[in-house]
Amino acid sequence: MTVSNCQIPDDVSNCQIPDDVSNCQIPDDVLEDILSEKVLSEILSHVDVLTLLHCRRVCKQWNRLIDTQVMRTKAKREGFTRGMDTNTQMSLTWCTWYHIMIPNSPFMSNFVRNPCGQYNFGGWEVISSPRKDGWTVDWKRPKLPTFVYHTMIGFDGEYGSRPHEMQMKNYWRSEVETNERCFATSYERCIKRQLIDLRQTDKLEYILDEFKPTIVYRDWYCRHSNVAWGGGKYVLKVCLLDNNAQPLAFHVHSTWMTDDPEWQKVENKFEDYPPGVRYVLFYHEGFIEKNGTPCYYGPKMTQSTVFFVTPGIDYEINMEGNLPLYTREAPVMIDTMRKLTMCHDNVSQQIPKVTWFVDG
Amino acid sequence: MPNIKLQSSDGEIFTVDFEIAKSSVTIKTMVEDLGLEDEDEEIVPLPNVNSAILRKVIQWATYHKDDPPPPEDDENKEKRTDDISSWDADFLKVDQGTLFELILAANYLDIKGLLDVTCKTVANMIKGKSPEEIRKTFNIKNDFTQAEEEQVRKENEWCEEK
Repeated sequence: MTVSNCQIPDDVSNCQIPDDVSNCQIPDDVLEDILSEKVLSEILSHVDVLTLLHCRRVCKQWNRLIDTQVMRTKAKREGFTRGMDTNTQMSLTWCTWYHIMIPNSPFMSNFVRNPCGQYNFGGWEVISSPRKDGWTVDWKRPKLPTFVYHTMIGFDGEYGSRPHEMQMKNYWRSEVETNERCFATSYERCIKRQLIDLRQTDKLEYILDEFKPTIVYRDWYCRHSNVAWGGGKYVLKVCLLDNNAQPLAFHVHSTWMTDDPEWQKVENKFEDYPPGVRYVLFYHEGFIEKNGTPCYYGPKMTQSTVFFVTPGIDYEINMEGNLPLYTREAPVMIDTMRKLTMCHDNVSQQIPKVTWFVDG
Repeated sequence: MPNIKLQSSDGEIFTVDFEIAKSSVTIKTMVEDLGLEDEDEEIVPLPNVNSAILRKVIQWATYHKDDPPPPEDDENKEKRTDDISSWDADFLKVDQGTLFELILAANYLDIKGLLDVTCKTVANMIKGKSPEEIRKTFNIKNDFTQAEEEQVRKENEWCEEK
């Protein structure tokens, strides 16, 4: 039995090596090799994921170990497999593990730019506004209560059952952003939207089509605290679009503001969507009847989030305090041939015509 | 049973506080399985560890005797790979051969803390190096054919693409 044909158990640390080696089927020299490969895997699993790419090129043994064991061992140690079923853990390729663990992983980022208005309206397109100042960024919104904050940083609370949400990039945290901000609407219909381009890299497209990762979106909304004048209707639409900006899946949430002046959560997910998703459209609307007082009495929104869930992890939507999905069919499209331009760090980037979206 | 006698591969005998020796799961299991707890004069043979390395291991275990027990393999806890205490860093300023022998000893003796810190030390030697530099550092022969190497390079390139 040559070493290269030797079956290395997937998880050597759980391998039962009999006390009495002489009764064991594995010859001594191979056993020795398993042990040293165990040690080598252990060492390599402490190497950063970017250098592991270099290590794949060192020699055949390192290449094989990294591809079959090291990436998974590393992911496990660093908490990326939390909540992931064993079958998925065993079936993910080294390449997918790599993408899960790299610093700019698509699984660790909020794809929404400027989610709280910290850069005013950068990244957002205001497409309907009764006046030039129909939208504003509000500095004095009510503070988010502690329990909300806890729901926000973990999926199920402060120590949520999923890793890394706290490290999620472009994710709002109250301890970082002391001047809590939000978007606020004035009277009549105020609409803004953001088209998230997922065509950033081949890899991202590969991951989208290959794994169809669960796409989770989340938003927070709140009424104006003025009892007499505040209120109105809050609408969130999220749509998955293909390369030609045609809708593949569509969710609408909508509610009339109650008297509760606290922030409310809306969260849901897309699963089993058709292949070919290349954009996510995130659409906000606030509506309040004109009452003669030109003030921002309409709905407020903040912390808009869109992220991918790591393959194999079942993300459960907690409906407690959550705005349910509005089941009415998607509205007909009227916004024909409109050229949607988005602001990318002050550089306008042309994106495909969006011929479908509207408003009914 | 306050003390235990450990015998290295080259025959040297070390008398060690059992509380310290217990950080090695291998020794702890051996003592419990063999029922040595009541006998003072029994010697535990460690045929895979020479005296120089065993001395280092005992030195490490003595310094870390009051450390909290290592957590079970806990997926829920994030662990960093670059957090080596300054004492450990000084302790591991040894030649590469000794470092690898310490890793093998930590693996054989099943001392998780020592295995972790020695593996991290070697991992830090790899960090940021090119394939050729890594081969040079660890004296590894490149056994890829040109075609195979090209294949791996292409796979990597696809991953590295910005």
